[in-house]
Amino acid sequence: MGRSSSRRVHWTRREFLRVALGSAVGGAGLVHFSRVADALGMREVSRFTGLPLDAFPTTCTLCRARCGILGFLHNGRLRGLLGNPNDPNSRGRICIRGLAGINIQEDSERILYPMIRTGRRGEGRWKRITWDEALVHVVRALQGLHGKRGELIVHEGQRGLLTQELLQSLSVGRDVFHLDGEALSSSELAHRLTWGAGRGVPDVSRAKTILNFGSNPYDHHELFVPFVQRLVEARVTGGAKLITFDPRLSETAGLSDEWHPLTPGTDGLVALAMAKVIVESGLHDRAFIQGWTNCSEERLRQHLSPYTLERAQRESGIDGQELRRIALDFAARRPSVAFAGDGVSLQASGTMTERCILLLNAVVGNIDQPGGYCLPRRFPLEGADLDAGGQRRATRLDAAEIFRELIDGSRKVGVYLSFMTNPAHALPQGDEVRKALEDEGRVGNLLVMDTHMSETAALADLVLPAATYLESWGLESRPSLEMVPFVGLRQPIVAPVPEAERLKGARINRLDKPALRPRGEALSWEDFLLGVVWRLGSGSEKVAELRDPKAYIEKLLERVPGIEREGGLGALRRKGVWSEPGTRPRFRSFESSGFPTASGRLEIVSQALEEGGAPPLPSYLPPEKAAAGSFVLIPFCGLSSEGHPNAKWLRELAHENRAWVNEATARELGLAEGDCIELDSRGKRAIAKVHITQGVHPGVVAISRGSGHWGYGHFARGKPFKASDPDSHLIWWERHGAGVHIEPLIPIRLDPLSGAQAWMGTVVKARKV
Amino acid sequence: MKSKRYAMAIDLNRCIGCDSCAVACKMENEVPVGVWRIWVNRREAGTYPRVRRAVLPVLCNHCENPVCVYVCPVKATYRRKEDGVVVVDPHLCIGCKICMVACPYQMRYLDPVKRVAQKCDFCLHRVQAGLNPACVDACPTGAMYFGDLMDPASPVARLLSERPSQSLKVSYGTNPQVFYVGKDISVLPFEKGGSIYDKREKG
Repeated sequence: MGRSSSRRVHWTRREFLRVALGSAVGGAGLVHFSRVADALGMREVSRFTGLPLDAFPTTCTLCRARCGILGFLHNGRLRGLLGNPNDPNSRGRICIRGLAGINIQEDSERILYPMIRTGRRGEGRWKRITWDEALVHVVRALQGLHGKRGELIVHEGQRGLLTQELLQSLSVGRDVFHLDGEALSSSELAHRLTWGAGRGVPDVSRAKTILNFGSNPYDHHELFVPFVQRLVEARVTGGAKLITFDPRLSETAGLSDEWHPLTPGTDGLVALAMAKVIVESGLHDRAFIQGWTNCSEERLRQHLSPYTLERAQRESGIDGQELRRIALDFAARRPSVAFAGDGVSLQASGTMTERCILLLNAVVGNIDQPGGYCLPRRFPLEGADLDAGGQRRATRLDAAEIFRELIDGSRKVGVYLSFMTNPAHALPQGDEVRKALEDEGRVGNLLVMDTHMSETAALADLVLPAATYLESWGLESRPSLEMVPFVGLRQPIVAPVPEAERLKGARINRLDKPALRPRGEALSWEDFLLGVVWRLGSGSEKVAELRDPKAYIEKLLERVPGIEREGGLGALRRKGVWSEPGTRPRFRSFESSGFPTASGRLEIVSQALEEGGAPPLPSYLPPEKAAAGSFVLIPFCGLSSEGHPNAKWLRELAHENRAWVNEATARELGLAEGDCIELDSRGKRAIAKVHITQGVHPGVVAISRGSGHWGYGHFARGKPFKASDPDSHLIWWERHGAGVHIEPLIPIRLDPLSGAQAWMGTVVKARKV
Repeated sequence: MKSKRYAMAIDLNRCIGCDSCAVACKMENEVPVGVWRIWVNRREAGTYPRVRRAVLPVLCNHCENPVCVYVCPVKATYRRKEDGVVVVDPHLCIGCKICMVACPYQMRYLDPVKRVAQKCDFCLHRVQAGLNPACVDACPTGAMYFGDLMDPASPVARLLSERPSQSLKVSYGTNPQVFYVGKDISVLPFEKGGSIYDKREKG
């Protein structure tokens, strides 16, 4: 690398950049990228030499926010990850999970080679095979679907670039079910039904009053870092007020201006009661309701009449006068915005409740206004998840729906192909899901592609080593918080094995020299699918057309107007992110073209819901009531359930999941901190340690999901081991355990409108043990 | 060259308690599991339903009167004259742990791999290259400010000239160079005495 000096030098920034450039020219094969460090403002130096490190822009996929990141390489090793300052959403900032991404990449327990089982399913006896043998196995399994009962299920935990394109070629004439964890949610459907587009973006940076229903943006959010930095900025410099409704004192609730613990499942009632207060006080936006919604003021007034403050107080437990004050504030202290999170959309009435909160925004005309609830601005890179009428495409289902039928035996699956998912642990009724996957009668072939030996991979017939997000291609356009659409590129910092090219019957592209040696024989999901389709022979023209993910990205970029003029893929590879320069946000976009709904208006009255027999206007659907001595279980997402299970820096901070019990409840049950409690849900039992707190509703037991791993690796399980990583024998949380697997307690129960799993609202009995 | 005085200020109104600083530090300085150079304390106060949570990130205070430096028998730890950063020379440290006992903030640890005392050094290698410490750059909400107090244009000097600030355990006379603004830390629900600095796991 360039010049080096044994003497301590104090560089000015300019000198430093010159050295940075000099070393870039010297770095063989990396010229293309090293300039990036300069273009981006150099952000990382070697701890030992003080020299700048090569920076590679790419996109983080560890959550749905998809922030732009820079990977830094030192001596052929991934040294660190930091935010990409070019990203207009995250503005160079990064979260804890994104930082810990390096743990996944460098993990000594990654799956590095294709393996085939030699014992029974789940016995743990494996034989290493070559990729050629593995592909032969996959192709035979797919061809075996001919003329037999059962179908192909493709289950993705992380949306693949080419999956939609290749699915039909994979099917061999059978039905294909595409389970896409990211596509389906009650929230998505509620937005489609109401305003014809996907989930909205709360423009918090300009808002003054912010109502948060069951979202926890201080810990995670679908636009986490971009969103929370603007939320905090608005509170600190703009004097915005954050009011949180949540039965649990989440990270956000604990630091909000106000926290209102409500009875679980009553969010819809609270929103409607506030809307009623606003309409009755005459503070509603008449012009918006008459001009841009399909509901007359009279009809709305009539519809809201049963949702009185007295009823809201009785059922939600929030003081009626407080609600009145918040409602008046929301209407008067503008701009204001209300948004919902998992606490709402994962209820059995999630779709309807989301619509209630959208109505609250619409009543005061906060739709697509500065500081209001805005339509998502993004480039259309993916096919719509739902067709225009808000109908779900037949092939996409919630995984829970498939497994309900697998569990009761009414469905047989020929080939279950899973990529980066872990149904055996993460789905409701987890124990029965595992039994179904273990049964060769119900699941003919279980093929799992993953970076780690997840609980599902452990049951598989064939385990394939997946490339991480830092080793593969992708293109994202997430909703912009600056209200100007942008694209983010994911490119391999660590190039996948050259074998990928050979498997597709193509020559190795020597121009794309790997920056780093890849780990083992990991292949990207796209390369794998192309390899399978090529061998199946069913889509050779498709393979020829797509050939490699990079070519496909170039094709996708044709949908991004203006990028070709600005240097196309080449420029995108250097910067990582692109948006049309000099574009300013345009609000009230509906004024020019109307809402993308059938009526062109915001549909408070939904024809589709009426035809389906559901209430056409946003209504309150009461939750199941917990009888005396029972509790509502809130399986929330926290640090212990998010991020990769085997990321050591995350597991060290959060490895067990204690059950949050209100202090008064704990006294009744005779519980002290750290005691054990048995949770009983329809005969399924789990024993958890308790965390006694003032910060949870007394009728609730809250416990985080996704704990209690027995797979993945030693960090996930909290067991010290011997590996080249010095941290492997320093694992100190063994005595705390790995937490409790609570998914078996939660029955498969779907929101009847969206078909998405209702995680919230399970009633459990609890007793001290 | 004019001497510098590096300092940090943390805006507690901006801190969301997400632990990004702790993990960014681990990445940057290859800190082993089980020990930290910076972490976030959390406490809950009040009774249901009036409950609040407070967060307080803590790191080495780079004291002007560093007790750890005075007690070191081999002079392995010292305060740099040119910029006021308190550092440990791992080649001189004998791992006797006296500094760990002496530090009123319990910010030092014995590196389980190298068996020498370690702590935050404001990411000196980054600072010398004109960058911020890793935690400051990683903080998702921009709650951390770093810079030279002698330079009135530095972010930290600007912030401290505009906002009232506090630091931890001022009665010890250590004169810390890590400041807190935004919230009155004396009324936050952290007990007085040593236990405020214990490491807490997330629930």
